[in-house]
Order: sequence, then structure tokens, then C-alpha cells
Amino acid sequence: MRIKVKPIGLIRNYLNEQDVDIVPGCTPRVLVKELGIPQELKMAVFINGEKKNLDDELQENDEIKLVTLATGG
Amino acid sequence: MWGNTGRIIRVDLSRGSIELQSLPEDYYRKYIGGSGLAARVFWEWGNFSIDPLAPEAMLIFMNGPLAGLRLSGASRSSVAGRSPLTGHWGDSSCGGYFAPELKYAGYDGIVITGRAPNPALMLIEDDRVALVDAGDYWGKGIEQVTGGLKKAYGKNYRTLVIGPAGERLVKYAIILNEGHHAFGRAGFGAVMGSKNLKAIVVNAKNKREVSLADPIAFAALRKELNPKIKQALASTVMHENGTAANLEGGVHTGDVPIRNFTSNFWEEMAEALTGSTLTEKYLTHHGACAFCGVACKRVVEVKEGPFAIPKGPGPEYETIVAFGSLMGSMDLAATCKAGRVCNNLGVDTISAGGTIAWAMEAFEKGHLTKEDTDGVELHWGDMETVIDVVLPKIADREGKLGQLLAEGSASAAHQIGQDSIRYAVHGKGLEVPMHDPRGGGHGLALTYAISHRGACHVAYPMLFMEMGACYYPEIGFEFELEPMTDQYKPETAVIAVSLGSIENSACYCQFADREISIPEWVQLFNTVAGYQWDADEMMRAGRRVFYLQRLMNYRYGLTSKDDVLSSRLLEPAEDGAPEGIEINFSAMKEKFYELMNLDPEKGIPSGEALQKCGMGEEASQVW
Repeated sequence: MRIKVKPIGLIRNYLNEQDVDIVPGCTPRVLVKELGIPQELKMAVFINGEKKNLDDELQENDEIKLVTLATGG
Repeated sequence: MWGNTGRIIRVDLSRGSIELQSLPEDYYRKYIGGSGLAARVFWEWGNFSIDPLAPEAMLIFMNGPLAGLRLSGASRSSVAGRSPLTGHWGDSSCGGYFAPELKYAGYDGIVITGRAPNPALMLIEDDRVALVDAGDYWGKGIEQVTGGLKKAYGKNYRTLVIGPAGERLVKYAIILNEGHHAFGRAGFGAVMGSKNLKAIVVNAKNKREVSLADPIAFAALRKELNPKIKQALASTVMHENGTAANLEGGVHTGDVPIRNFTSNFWEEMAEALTGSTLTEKYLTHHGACAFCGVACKRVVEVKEGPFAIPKGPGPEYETIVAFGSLMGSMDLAATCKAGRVCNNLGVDTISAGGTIAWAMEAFEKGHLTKEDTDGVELHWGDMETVIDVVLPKIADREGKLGQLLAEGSASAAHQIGQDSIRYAVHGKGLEVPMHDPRGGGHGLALTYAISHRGACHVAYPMLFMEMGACYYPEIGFEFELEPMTDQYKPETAVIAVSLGSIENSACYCQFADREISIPEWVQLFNTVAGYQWDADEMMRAGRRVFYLQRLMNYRYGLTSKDDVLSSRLLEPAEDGAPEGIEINFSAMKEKFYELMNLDPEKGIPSGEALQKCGMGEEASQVW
């Protein structure tokens, strides 16, 4: 099944907006690992505009925003 | 003594006297340096009933044991005393080039009291310490004075300078090193101004070497740490795009405040203000603090338009947000110019931003009228008025508007009343920095509230811990935290307050030292100062500093009821990722108090808790 991935913030250095094929049962945590994003980048996950958990299951046609968590001072 | 010089310069400006003093070696071991050691010095020598701007008030500059040791990120020092902005104990940390130079000249710190009869500067050249007439510099901007001092003494002389705002006792006036690096928070520029002290200038011609406990082991450790810090992902990102590198991500998580914390999402602003945009449009080169391989500082030039500025110091994340989205603007050039103007006049960009944003909301709501503002209209996003009219009025305390806003948002709101107190966004009188805890992390709300200094994001590293930027399994911090809940936040805060107190007492940069593990921290102290600590003993030193600063605020009259946040931050956000989510603040605070053995009424540690930290002497003065 296919989902849309939108990177926001620093993660853009590692990932372009793209459609990705995933297997049923895939979670954002698995997706991030498979996309090769450095594990030091911590992320918030929004699925179809709603804030979700890294372990929530992804569904067909979901739009997932991966947002790098805040830095700055 | 190892690591430290053991010498403090003690100056009485009223009498013109300069003495050298030693501190008991025990103070260093127990309170480390910087923020902690300054507090202990004040506890011994200070007077809690003195007005912060009175001649008798004590102003303390203090290094940590790692100053000048060519470690990436260890170039900072602390200034401390009673804050004129908050009225209680405060301190502020500054990077740049002052700390190593002071150490090489042979001093750990400077303790200043009195008021010079005429404007003066303090000149430190190795063993020679003198007070010099500064009449020619008085009334002038920091850029001009810094340039003048370099011309008069030499470019290797390191400078701390106040601007017109410090002279006029603006409550959030700063002290600037090399015209770029700020002791920004809590208004110590005004304390210097009240003492008629325009600048401190230091040069170490002979560059004293300080003995280390184990120089070979330290050199080996430094050889590992410096590349590790420089090559870390967070460091490379900050080198490339500065402290605002992930501002865009922060907007989407609801961390970045908008229009005086009334909104938590503004999509178009995210890309307009983020660090990569600053790099592309205005960066001319990277700047760095002494010995730092990260080099996150920005040097910028805006070539044209209403906010054109020549090449010079560029804005940090805090300045970009304070003079950007917080005021309803997404004009990045305006933030560059605002930062430059604040630096030159000598005001803290966080407190100035928070105070002006409060005034904009008050004007919009009709709580402030043109009669209060000398006819100036304050509208969201009108950055020309902010930069050309409001900032100069504040620095000069000109007219009703200048006088009002020079006091800071909490005080201004109390003067205006009419519900405007509700939206003055501060903790203990210190304007909240540019991280909204509703989106940035609920634990941050707790540490804003319990910080001795007032709402501060770098008093303790909660922000970094909540976003997963560090793990410390050796001291029990291995939680995977969800920022927008209260789960494990009191437990995390217990670790954060000790760790932050260690960082600010060792005067280490919180961006660079995220890469330092607990065993490496312990090794740093042991190889430099010979403390023979283990992790528990080191963390106890951090807790001791936290406890002492709570005792100090208690002596200024603060209790548990002062560990609060402005109501706006405790109301659920109206949009963005944190929309509708309430911070469970009271429960977090109650649990934190219990875990830290803080008295629920007085807000200070129990006598038993103090005894456990080896603070029997301090305990006897409050219990």
C-alpha cells in the first residue's frame, strides 16, 4: 500500500517529499528506519493532520508529516 | 588548587579600592564555579536586603574550572547578583572570549560593589588591575565603544560593554562581549550602569597556565571530546544554519510562539524565518566562541531595503522569533536589524521582544492607548516602528512609552492593569523565551516555573531531554519522552535541575555539551580539578547548587507560590499541534516537590535534604 511522506524541518536534509510503498502493519518508527533517517533526529509525527504516536499503524493513502523536534536557544 | 586560579578580584568602585582575594577551596569543590560559585560567594559576602541598583549591590562575574582549556563549548562565564528585572537572585551566561582571557590573566572572577563617582572602566592586564576614566565612552552605543576600546588598547583586549540602556537602568539591559556575545538575561547591564561602570577590559600578556590534576589524562579526553562535539549531527546542523536551524520544525510542533503566545501555528512564517533561509539570504560567514568547533554564530549583511545593515553579528533563534513571529512578523531582515539595534543599545532581545509583544496586544485590546504610548501606534508586524521608534525610546527611557516598557512586561502590566497582567508572559518576572511549552514540551513548563532565575530554557536542559537529544542511562535518564504529556516529566526535571546546575556552574554551552556523556563529565572534573568524583557525587554537586539558589530566593521572599507560570501558558493552545491540550502543571509541580524534598509552602529543601548535600551551614540560616 502507498502513503505520502512530507518532511518538515531539518529532516528535509535527508528526505524529499515522496510517495512510499509500505507493507500492512508498518508504523512511523519502522518507516523512519527504512528511509535511512539518522536516529539522532527526533521527530513528531502527524498523520492526516493529527498528531500521532511513532507506533501507530499507517493506513493506505495516509499523509504522514515527519517533523524534526525543536532546537534553538 | 587545580583547574581554577584561586584568585578573585574584589572591587569597591565607591572607594576606588581593588583587592585580590582567595575563596575557600571547599567552595569550588561544592559549588563548581560559574552560577553555583557566584551564588555561594554572595551567600557569604552579599546582603539580601540591598536594592539591586543601589551602590552596595554586589555584581559577580565568575568563570568555571574549564575556562581556557581549549574545549569546544567551554568558553562561557556567568554573571550573577540580585536581578533588577525580577527582584530576586539571577544569573546569566555568556560565551565568546572573555572567560578564557580572564583565566589567563590569573583570575576566576570579579566581585564588584560600590558606584564610581564618574563613568569608569576596569582595566585588567595580568597583575595590573586599574579603574580608568570612561567619560568619553559614556552615552555611546556598544558597537562604537567596543571599537574604541579595541583601538585604544589593542584588538587582543577582550571587552565587556554596556550600552545606553544599561546607563539608563533599563531593567533588561545586557552586557556584551566583543560586541557580539551577550550576558543577556535578568538585567545585569543595568547593575553595571548603576555602578557607573561602562566596560571591563582584560588582556593576558603573560598567559598564565593553570595546573591541572591530571594534565595527560585531560589532554587525551579533550582529544576525544573536541572532534566528537564538532562532528555530531546537531553540531553540523547548527554550524550550517545556526541556532534557528530547525525553527521550521518548531513551528509545526507548536513550539514557536506567535503574536505574544496567542497562536501556535503559522505555516508561511516557518520557512520565512528558519535558519536555512537566513543562511541563503544574509549569511556572510560563520562566527564562533573561543575554541569552539561548532561555530554556530551568524555574521550577516542585509544589503537593501528598510532593514539594511552592514556586515556584523547576526540574530540567534531567540532574536529571530522574538522580533519575528512573536510580534506577528515574518520579515527575516527585520529580525537581523532588530538584533543589531538591541545589541548596540544594550537590551536583551528576549525580554525586549516579550515586552513589546505584550504592548502590541495591550494596544490591540485598548488596554494601552495612544496617551500611554506618546502617540505611537503599536501594531502586529509593524517592525519599522519597533526598530526605529520603540527600541530607542526604551533604551533612553524616553517618554511614557519608554519608561513603561523599560521596566519589563510583568511590571508594565501591573502598571496598566485591566486584564493585561493575564497576557504578560513571564515566570517570576523574567520574560518567557521563545519556546512555548504547550508545544515545546510540558516538562519545560515545569522547569520554567521552578527555575531560580525565572522562565529560562537554558537554566536546565529539559528542552533537549524532552526532544530526545540526549540520554544519560548512568544517572537514570533513559525515558523516551513525549513532549506534549506530563509522563515522567517530574522525574526528568529532578535530573535536569542537577545537570543544568552543573552545566551552568562549569560554564559549558548547552548545545556543545549534549555530546558529553556522564562518565566523560566526571572525567572532566577529575582530570581538571582532581575531585575524584563518581557520577553520584557530581550530581550531588549539581543538586547542591540548585538547592542553594532556592534558599537564596527564599531569602528574597519567594516561596512555593512563586513557582508558577503566566496563565496564558497554562491555557490550552487555540491552534496548531498542541490545540486543546492542557498542561497538567499542578500535578507535575507537586510530584517534583516531593521528589526533591522541597517544603510545599516555603519551596525550600528540607533540613534533612540539605544535610544530605553537605549544606548544614546553609540550612542553619533558614531552618
